[in-house]
Amino acid sequence: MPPVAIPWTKLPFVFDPVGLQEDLQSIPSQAWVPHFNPQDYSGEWSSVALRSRSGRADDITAQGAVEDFHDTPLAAQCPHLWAAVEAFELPLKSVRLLRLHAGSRVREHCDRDLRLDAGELRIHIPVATNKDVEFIVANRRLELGEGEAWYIDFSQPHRIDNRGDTDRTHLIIDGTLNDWAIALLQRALSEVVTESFEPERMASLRRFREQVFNDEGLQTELLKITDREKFLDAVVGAGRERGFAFELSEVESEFNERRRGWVERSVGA
Amino acid sequence: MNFSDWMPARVAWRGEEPRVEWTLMRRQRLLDSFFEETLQRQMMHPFHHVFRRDSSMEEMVEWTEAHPGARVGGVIFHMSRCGSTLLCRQLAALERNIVASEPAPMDDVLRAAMRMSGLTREVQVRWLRAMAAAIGQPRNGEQTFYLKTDCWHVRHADLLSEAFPEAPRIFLYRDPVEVIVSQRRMPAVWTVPGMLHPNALGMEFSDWDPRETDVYCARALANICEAGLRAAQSDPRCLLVNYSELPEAMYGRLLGHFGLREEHVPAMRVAAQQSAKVPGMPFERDDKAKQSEATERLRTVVAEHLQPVYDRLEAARRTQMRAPEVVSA
Repeated sequence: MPPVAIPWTKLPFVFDPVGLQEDLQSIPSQAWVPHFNPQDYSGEWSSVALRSRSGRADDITAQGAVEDFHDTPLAAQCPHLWAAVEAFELPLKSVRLLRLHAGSRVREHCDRDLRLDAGELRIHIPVATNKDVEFIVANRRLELGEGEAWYIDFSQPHRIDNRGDTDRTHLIIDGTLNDWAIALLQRALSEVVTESFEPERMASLRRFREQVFNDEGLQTELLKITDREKFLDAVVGAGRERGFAFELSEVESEFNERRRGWVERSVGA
Repeated sequence: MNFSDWMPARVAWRGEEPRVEWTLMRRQRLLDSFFEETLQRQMMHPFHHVFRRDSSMEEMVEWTEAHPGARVGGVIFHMSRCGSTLLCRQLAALERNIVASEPAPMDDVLRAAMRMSGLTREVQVRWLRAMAAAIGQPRNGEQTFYLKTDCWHVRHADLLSEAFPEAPRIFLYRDPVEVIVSQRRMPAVWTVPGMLHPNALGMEFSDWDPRETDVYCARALANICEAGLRAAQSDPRCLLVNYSELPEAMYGRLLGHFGLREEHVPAMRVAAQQSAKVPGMPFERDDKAKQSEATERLRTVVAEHLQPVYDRLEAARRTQMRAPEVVSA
């Protein structure tokens, strides 16, 4: 086991985005299938598999044991993508391309089963992205660049919002943790600097909260609304009236994180 | 930062750094049987999640130095299931009093050393004072703050004496058979080692055996009673009180001890008519019912682990009651 829980780290690999994108463009548009869990996203979110349980490219479920998975015909058709996959010397499960279309978003959620301590490792390699993709994990914005490789602990709350006008596609490799992967993570932690940023609209919410802390009238007004959905909308409205840019997803995230903190407060005491 | 309307709800840990989370309390009084109940109800409203505030411990210290809380007028240690809630209800019946019953943020500070290597006693004492001042803000002009601790905190009695040297203390206890019967009916979370670290009770994980949960409970209670006895023997301002003396002791030897006067008695008598944990039900002595529920095995466990320390507590209490009245500040 790695010595510490790792929230995220860039990995010491760089792949040539030109080759990766060439492969991406070679995949016919009809091969892509809509992602499952439609309640988790709005807009369009689609996928194809290079390795799947059935060996078919349109089978995009990721659950299963290592021996259940087989390469799909796309693996051989995409040599640059596959070379990137093979750089990771771990027992492979599913390998997929996930595409979040321009203007689409994945709502905040946690993937509880994707944890290092469960022996699961998920690696992201951005193939095509844009500067307006907001990739936010545990309320920190991560800037995942094309051709980079990332490990991220997705049991943390995360959300993705593609506010740009091009689609965002990541190569996503699932595998089980082995000694090689542990050594890789340890090397990444000691050698790679991974920056993260406070998301701009979270900073805006933070400033708004400070204002509420000192405004009895506004506190009273907001305390009148007990219904959760109406309350969260009212917070967004009150912020907008006062010139704050945060949106519902920020308020929801703050609520979820604080509520989780409260509910789990005595765990491990 | 101004925390006048705010109350510490919990201490959250960011690695080794403690952060105080405050909730908007305004002029609400702590009138539930437990601090936790008031907070639970508060947290039903989404406002109190989105708009909880954070501060460092030192920010809390600074703020409370400028805004002292009500005078700490008493610390109530107890063995659990022995009438401490009744006693708190009596004290809270007086509008001049703030009574915090087992507030989790105090527990967080008392156990901070487990989270934070290198926490000095001096710093911990400063945090305890600040936390009591923050919880005990005179939101309605109250004068006195009473703290009822969690039952295992009597093991930190020396730390709390150092933090609140001026505050009179008591250790409340009860016939151990009755306490264990009550724990059996409705076990407290601390009786399960996964819920409270056994260290807090002077126990080890290996002391717990699913076939012998009464033994774990009895041994933990014995450690609590030993600590209560030590506190009373090393500190003349720590009175031993038996459940059998309630509620009358409040109008007798505890009245002056807790800095109260005859004029305060009637309101406390009314409060004592109520069952402490089930509002609306009258308080009734239930020692007979509890004694009749005790099995032979349970009596054997008590005889082995708890009876000796209980007998010593009783002997020490009798000595205290014979001694001339302790002068209270």
